[in-house]
Amino acid sequence: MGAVDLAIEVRGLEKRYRGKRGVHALRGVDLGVARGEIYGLLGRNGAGKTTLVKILLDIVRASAGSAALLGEPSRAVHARRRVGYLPEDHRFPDYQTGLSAMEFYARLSDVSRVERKRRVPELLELVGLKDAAARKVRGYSKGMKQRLGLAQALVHDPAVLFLDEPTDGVDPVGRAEIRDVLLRVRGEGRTIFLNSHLLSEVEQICDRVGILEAGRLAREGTIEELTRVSGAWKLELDREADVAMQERLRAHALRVATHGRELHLEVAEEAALDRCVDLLREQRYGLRGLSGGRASLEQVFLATVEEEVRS
Amino acid sequence: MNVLGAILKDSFHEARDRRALFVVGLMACLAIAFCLGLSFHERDESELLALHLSRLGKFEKQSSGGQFLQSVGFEPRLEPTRRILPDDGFDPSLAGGWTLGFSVVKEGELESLQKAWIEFRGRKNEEAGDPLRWVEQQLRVQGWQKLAVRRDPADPLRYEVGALCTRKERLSGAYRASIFFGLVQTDDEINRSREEFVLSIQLVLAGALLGAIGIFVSLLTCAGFVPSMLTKGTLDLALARPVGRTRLLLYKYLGGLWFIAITSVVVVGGTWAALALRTGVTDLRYLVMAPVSIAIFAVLYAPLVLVGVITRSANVAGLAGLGVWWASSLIVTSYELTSGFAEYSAGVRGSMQALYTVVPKTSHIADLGQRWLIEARLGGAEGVGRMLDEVRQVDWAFSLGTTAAFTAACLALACWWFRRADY
Repeated sequence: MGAVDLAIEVRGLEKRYRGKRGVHALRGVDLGVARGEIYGLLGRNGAGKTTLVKILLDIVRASAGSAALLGEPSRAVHARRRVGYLPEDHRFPDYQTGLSAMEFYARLSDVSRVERKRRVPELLELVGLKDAAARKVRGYSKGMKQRLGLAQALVHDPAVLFLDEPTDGVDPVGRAEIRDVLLRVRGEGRTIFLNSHLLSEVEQICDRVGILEAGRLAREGTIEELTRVSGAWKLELDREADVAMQERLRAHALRVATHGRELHLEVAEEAALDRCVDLLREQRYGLRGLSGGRASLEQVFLATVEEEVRS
Repeated sequence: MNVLGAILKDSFHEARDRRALFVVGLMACLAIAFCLGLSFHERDESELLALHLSRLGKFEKQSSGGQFLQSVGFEPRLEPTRRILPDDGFDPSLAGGWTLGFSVVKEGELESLQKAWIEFRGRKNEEAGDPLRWVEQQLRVQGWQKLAVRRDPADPLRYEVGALCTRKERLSGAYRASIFFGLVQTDDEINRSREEFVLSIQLVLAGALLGAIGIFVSLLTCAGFVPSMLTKGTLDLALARPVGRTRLLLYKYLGGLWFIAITSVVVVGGTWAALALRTGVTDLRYLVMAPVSIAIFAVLYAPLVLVGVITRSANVAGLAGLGVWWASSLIVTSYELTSGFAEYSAGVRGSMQALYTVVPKTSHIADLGQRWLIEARLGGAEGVGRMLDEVRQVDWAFSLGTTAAFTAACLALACWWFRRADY
């Protein structure tokens, strides 16, 4: 993919926070997101997802490496002209109403009065806050604040949208509403960078996914690429495979992971699977089911995290 | 302009929500109500001459034991007062003055009155002089500068007084004032013209506005503006916008100034209008107190912004602002009172000189505004000396220059800190 086509480009990005603990949040991340693409970044708490987004928005300064937005260095003020951001745990000042908050952030993004008059009511309606627009934000529910956050991120018609846990703390109905808005936004051709814990959400919306673990981009690809695992098998056992058993299986399998009574194996050839099944039987494990071919995103994520932790 | 407009408007909303608007609004209303409750009365010179003459029988003396009053029965029959005419026969130096004829009930009444006065003063052995000179002396005490008292050759009970006063404010009882809608009467002898009286009230108001009440309330009101912007979750929303951090912080600083500017204009403008309504004095120069108070606030708000950026705490920032104000006032006053610590060792002198150079001199800005107001209205150093208790000798260029440098340094440091920090 040529640099010109990239909406977001990150090369060798490192971040080590100053202070006593000196947290090494990012350890040489390389990443590219094409224009119009929806990219999901997965990772555990503290994996460095928010730090990565904040560096892209110049809220946090990188220790090394480079980051660019729409071809401009991310540290340049004008690079943020066409970028929208919904931060995690964002907090609107209590004294603002939904309408005044939208007006305020639109003006900070230098949106003209004519454009504001058109876009602000339109977006408030899109996120279902038209009737609550005159109310103080302090009276809003978590879901309403989240939807207002999404509206403010869109107020200046950005080409790139960063969403950090957009459905965090929102009930299932609110989550579905936000997902609908995102799907509509996706249809408008914007680039969306989504940080989320909710794998199902990412699976439904994103074109491509990266898994960040301990500051490194451990895996990256389309949903199709990541979940299509040749030689991947799921065995349902009558009890959880203990550590000793897992170690013995690793002699024949490329990857071994357990999830309760589920045992996930990745083997190079089917004969290796047979040897694994034999080993399980030798140890008197009861086999209740066997399936294979494709892993869920959750499985991929868990396996990746486990592998990274082990390494 | 879009961004600046948004931040100024937001600061106003924030102040309104914090009830700051209520507090400063209440202050403004109290100041305006105080001015509306003032009244100023002025007597004609002709009326005053009659009043002073009728008071001849009311003795008054001050001693260490307090004020003593005594009234003897002296009730002259007063004729209408009129201007002295050239053919009235008074000395030409009294031209433009007033004449008043009065009659006593019996012959020798003035002599008796004079003796009673000598006794009241406790000078029994003093010889009574010419009673007409005594009357002149008594009227001179009341503020008349040129006088002549004479007997009517045709009527032994009738006398004529010719009097001239070139400065009405010297005449006893020329002006009276009351405050709180007449509830409190000021001393009968305020000895100040209407303009001077209004000016003295304006100086009191300016002192309150620029001093204890105004600055204290302003600093506490605006202490939370910067820390609230830096609240986790709020700042991200602003920093993600295409606005540089330096610009964002400086605009926020201007937002605080904007709120105080509106307040100052309302307080100064409101009190000016109320005083104009009550006294008729409409001199616009008092309005200079609004920019002066904004300038003082601008200086003290800069360290508050700096501490706000570093600590992100409204309480600490507010205390820092007040601390800088009080500490700098203490240093400046001590330095000036001790003539630069002249009697101390070279080390102390050098340290104090350095401190004096660094700290902001907001009291000098207030002085400058007040002096300008007085000089413009009364003219020269004499007016300043009369209206102000203390007149300091100030090197204005040094004082204003170092104060501006302090403000700029605080803001530059705040911007540097804000630019380099990760949020």
